[in-house]
Amino acid sequence: MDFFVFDKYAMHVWAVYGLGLLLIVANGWLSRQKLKKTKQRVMRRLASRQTSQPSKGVTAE
Amino acid sequence: MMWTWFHKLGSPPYAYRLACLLQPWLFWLATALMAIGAYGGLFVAPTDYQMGDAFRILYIHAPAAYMSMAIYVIMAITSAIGMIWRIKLAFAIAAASAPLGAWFTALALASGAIWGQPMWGTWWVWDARLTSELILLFLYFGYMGLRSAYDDPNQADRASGIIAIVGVVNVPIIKFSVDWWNTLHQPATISKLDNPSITADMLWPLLVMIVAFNLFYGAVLMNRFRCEILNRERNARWLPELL
Repeated sequence: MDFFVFDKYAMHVWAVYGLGLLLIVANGWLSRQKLKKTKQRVMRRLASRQTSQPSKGVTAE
Repeated sequence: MMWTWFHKLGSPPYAYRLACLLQPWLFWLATALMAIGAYGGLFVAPTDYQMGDAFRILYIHAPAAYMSMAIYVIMAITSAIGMIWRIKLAFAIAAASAPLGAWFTALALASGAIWGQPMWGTWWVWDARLTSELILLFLYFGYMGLRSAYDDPNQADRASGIIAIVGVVNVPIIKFSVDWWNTLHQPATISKLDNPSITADMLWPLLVMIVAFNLFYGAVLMNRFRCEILNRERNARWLPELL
């Protein structure tokens, strides 16, 4: 079986499979990056909120 | 008691944990099935007597077109659930689904054009199926554009939800356009599983690819859904425990 030569339409077939692969890889990667960045942003926000809040329970005499 | 599991899905921490748990399973299962389906479509399925090897485009084109419509229906249903029962996570699923739906629609249109060029002698015709699919892509763009126009997620949910619900009328038009109008696009190949118009050795890779695309959508949705939860619940007390 010749794996890489179909007929005169081989280029069309490989172009579509290439696009499909691109969609899969790009979406998988983009969604992971987006999640990573969102997590970092939320964690930064939580950290800054904790530092800006005055500590409760300790009063200055 | 019977619906307890369903009600739990409305809880952001529970949904976040569930998405974390499901994502790797969905992703690896989708990858494995895609590899099997692509191998079957490229090397196992016999060459079509009329279209030659160009018919192998079917194994990417048809699942992508199917997903483009299925995702829009999911968006419409979840938006309706969000509006009726005021479940914010339902809107989050719709918002997380939209980019992937647009990608699948673009892939369906691009692969259709690449298939159309050798078979019909043209990249594009203003055929009912092609035009309605293009309108679907614009609906996805409209949905995402409208969401990004609002700073308040509640307003964005309501406004974009209306687009999702109204726009779903386009889905049956896409599906039945080949029956209602005289189109260049062929009619459905597997409208009935017991009587498909292709042979079994051509059919199984298509079914495997459809399942794989669904699982892939699930895997990417889980990541995007978690982003939506994090953005919406950024002030919640439970959040530091999960991160």
